[in-house]
Amino acid sequence: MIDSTASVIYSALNGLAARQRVIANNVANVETPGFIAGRVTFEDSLRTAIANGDDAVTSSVSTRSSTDPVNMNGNNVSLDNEVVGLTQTDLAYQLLIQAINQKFGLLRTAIGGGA
Amino acid sequence: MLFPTFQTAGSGLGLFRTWMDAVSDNMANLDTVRPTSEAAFQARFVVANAIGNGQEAMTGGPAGAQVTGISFGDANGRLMHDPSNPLADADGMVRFPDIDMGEQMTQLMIAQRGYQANLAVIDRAKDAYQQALSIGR
Repeated sequence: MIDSTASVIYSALNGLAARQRVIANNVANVETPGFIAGRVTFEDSLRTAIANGDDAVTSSVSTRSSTDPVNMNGNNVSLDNEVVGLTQTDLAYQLLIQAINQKFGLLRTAIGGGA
Repeated sequence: MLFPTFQTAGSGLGLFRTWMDAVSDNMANLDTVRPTSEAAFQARFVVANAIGNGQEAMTGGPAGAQVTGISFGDANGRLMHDPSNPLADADGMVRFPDIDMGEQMTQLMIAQRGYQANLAVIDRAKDAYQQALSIGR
């Protein structure tokens, strides 16, 4: 990656894309007996990597099982939670895309020498 | 896979569509009469299973839900006294399927909402992918 800012945005986009895939999997299995919802975490790892001055790309994205209570058929997907999560993920994703486009815009300005 | 979320949500659409098909089959045969010498029309139940182990969903591997089989309801059905029915046996009994319309309607609503939820996911994913394609424009 070009610099640490781009690297952080790239890592966050990766984490959010993974979260979106896992939410899609949760929604597809909203009625599957015995299915336990997945939750993606990457923020803590990314935060630690930034704080340590490490390359943010080395931060890890991981999935854990949701600890929400299960209903009668052993499934614990809550559709409203998933939709809220999906909306948050989507908006954060769009925000980061704008951020990386701004970053590239600055680079373009620098390359063009203000011309 | 290029756009794995579509694949995952698409599998959900397929599952709930199959479920709705099963319900409509059950509803259509609500009054299917059989002679007592034969089995009653058996309600169709969709058996769903998750694809992949949940970890793979994160990396764009196999994910989603699938129909792994169909289970059948009670073959004994409900015996009814209807001597005027040409299918009735010597005691005037015929066999009706053991299907409850209220239960089928409930299942239909669950399947319909599940279908809509997966459709909503596809809609959102499309937005996100389109945004991603705009990087660097």
